[in-house]
Amino acid sequence: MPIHSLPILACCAILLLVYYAVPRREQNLLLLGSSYGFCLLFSWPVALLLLAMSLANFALGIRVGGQRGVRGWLRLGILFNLLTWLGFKFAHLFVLRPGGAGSHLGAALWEGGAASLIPIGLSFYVLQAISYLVDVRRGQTPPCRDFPSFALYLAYFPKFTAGPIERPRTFLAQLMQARRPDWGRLGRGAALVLSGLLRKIVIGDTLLQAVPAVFFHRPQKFGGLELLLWLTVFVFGLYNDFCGYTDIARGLSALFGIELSPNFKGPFFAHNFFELWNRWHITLSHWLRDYVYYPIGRALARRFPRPGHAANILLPPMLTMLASGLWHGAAAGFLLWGIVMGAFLVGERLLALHRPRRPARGTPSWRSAFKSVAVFILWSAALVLVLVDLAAVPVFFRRVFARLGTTLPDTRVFLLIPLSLWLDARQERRSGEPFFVSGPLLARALCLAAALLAIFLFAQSRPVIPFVYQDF
Amino acid sequence: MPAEEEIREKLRSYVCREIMRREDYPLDDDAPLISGGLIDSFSLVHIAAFIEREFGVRLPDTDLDVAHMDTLRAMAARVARAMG
Repeated sequence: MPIHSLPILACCAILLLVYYAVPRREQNLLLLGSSYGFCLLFSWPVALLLLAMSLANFALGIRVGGQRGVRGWLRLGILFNLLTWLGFKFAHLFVLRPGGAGSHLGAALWEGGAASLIPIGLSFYVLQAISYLVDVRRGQTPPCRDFPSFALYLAYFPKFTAGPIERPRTFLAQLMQARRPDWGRLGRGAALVLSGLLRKIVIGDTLLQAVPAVFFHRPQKFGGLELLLWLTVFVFGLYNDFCGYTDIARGLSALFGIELSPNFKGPFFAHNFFELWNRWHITLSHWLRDYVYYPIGRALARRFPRPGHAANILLPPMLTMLASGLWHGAAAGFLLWGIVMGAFLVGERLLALHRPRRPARGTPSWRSAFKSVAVFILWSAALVLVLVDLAAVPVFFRRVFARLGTTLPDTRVFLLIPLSLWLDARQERRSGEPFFVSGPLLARALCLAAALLAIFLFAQSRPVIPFVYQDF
Repeated sequence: MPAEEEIREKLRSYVCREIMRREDYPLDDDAPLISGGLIDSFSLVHIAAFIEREFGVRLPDTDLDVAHMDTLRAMAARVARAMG
C-alpha cells in the first residue's frame, strides 16, 4: 500500500494525535511500531528480512566501532549487505516471478527486465546500512547503542519504500531529541504532502497512464515524432511520480518533526550531466559520490597526480555509473544505461580539459537554455535503453532518425508538462519551498484551492497507483 | 605550519592552473567555485589530492562538498583546521 493512499494518510493523522503527547523514547517506539506495521502491509517476509538486517547491522556497527579487528568487521558488514542485496536482485534470473505487475507501466518495466524479486525497500535500506558502517569506521558517526533508534533509521515508514537515502549522522541525531509541535514545520509538512499529491496524482499518474503499453514493446507501430513525444511524456511522468513521492515522504516526516533530505532540484534545468546528478535523485547520487566515486577517484589521483591522466578521466565516472545502473536493475539494459551515462560524464570531462572554465553566471540565457535542452534530450535518449525491450532499441532510433512521420499523440496530455516545469521554476526560486508556503496570501489560497480540487477530481477517476521507484 | 593566507595562495595557484586552465584568472577569495559552476566533483578529487601532497593532511570525503569547499577562503580554513 503506497504512502499516499487514504488509509495510510488517515493512520498518520491519528498517530500524530498521540505522537506529540508522549516523551522522546516513546515517540521513537511509536514510529518504529508504525514502520513495521507499514512493512507488514506488504508482507510478513518483508518485515522479517528488515528485522534480520537491522539486528545484523546493529551488531556489526558495534564491532566496527570497537577496538579490535575493525577493518575485518567493516569488510564483512559491506559484503553481508551487498551479497544479500545482490542475491535478491539477481534472483529473478533463476526464479519465475509470481503474478504480474499491477499497471501496464509496471508490466512494461517487468517485460523490459527492470522489476525483480527484490523485497520492497531493500535497495534503499541496504545503502543506508552500508553508509552507517563506513561512517562509524571513519569516525563520522558513533556506533548506535540504542537498537530501536537504529532499527528506525532503516525502517522509518515515510522513506522505507523509495528513500530519500538518509545518512546516519543527520537522521540519528534527530531521534536523540524530543520532537515538539512546531506550527511552522507542521504547515510546511502539510504543504509538501499536498505538493507531492499534486505531482503524483495529477501530473505523474496522468502522464504515465497516457503512454500506450505497446510503446515499450513495439516501437515500430509509431512514427519517429510520436515516439519522441511519448518518451517526453514518460520522462515527465516518471519525474513527477518520484518527485511527488519524495515530497509526500518529506512532508509526512516533517509532520513528525523529522527532516528528510531533498531528492530533486529542478533536474531539467541542469546545464550539464554533473549538474543533473546533483539535481536528480540527489540522495542516491551523493551516496554514489561519497562511497564509490570519491574513494576510487582519490586513490587514482594519488597514483596519477595529473588530472588529465586517462585513468582519472575514465575510471571513476564509468565505475560509478555502472554501479548506478546495477542498483537500478539487474538487466543488460541498465548496465548499458550506466555505460552511456558514464560516457556522457567522460565526454564532459574531456571537453572541460581542453577549454578554460567560465563561471556559470556569465553564460547568456539562450546558451543556458540550449544546454538544458541538450542534456534533457541525451538523458531521455539513454533512458530508452531501460524502457524499451533491448531488442527493440535499434528499431526505436531507426524510426526516430529515418521515419519521423507527422502523426501526433493526443496533445491534451502535454498541458501538464508546462505545469511541471512551472512548479520546478517556482520551487527553485524559493529555495525548494513548496509553492503553498510562500507568496501573496490570495495567490496561495487560490493555488491551494485549485490543487485540492485537482487532486480530488483526479484521485476519484482512478485507483491508487504505486510509485515506480518502489520496484527498484 | 603555513598561515591561512599562504595556504589560500597555493590553492589559488593550483585551481587556476590545473582546474580552470587559466593562470591569469582573477579568482577571488570568496568566489563561489562549486555553486558557481567552476569546479565539480572531479576537480574536488584533484584538489583533495593536491592538499594531501602539499600540506600533508587528508580531508574526509564528506568534507568535499559545497559546505566546506565552495570558496578558496573556506578551503584554506578547512585545511588550516586539519593541520591543527
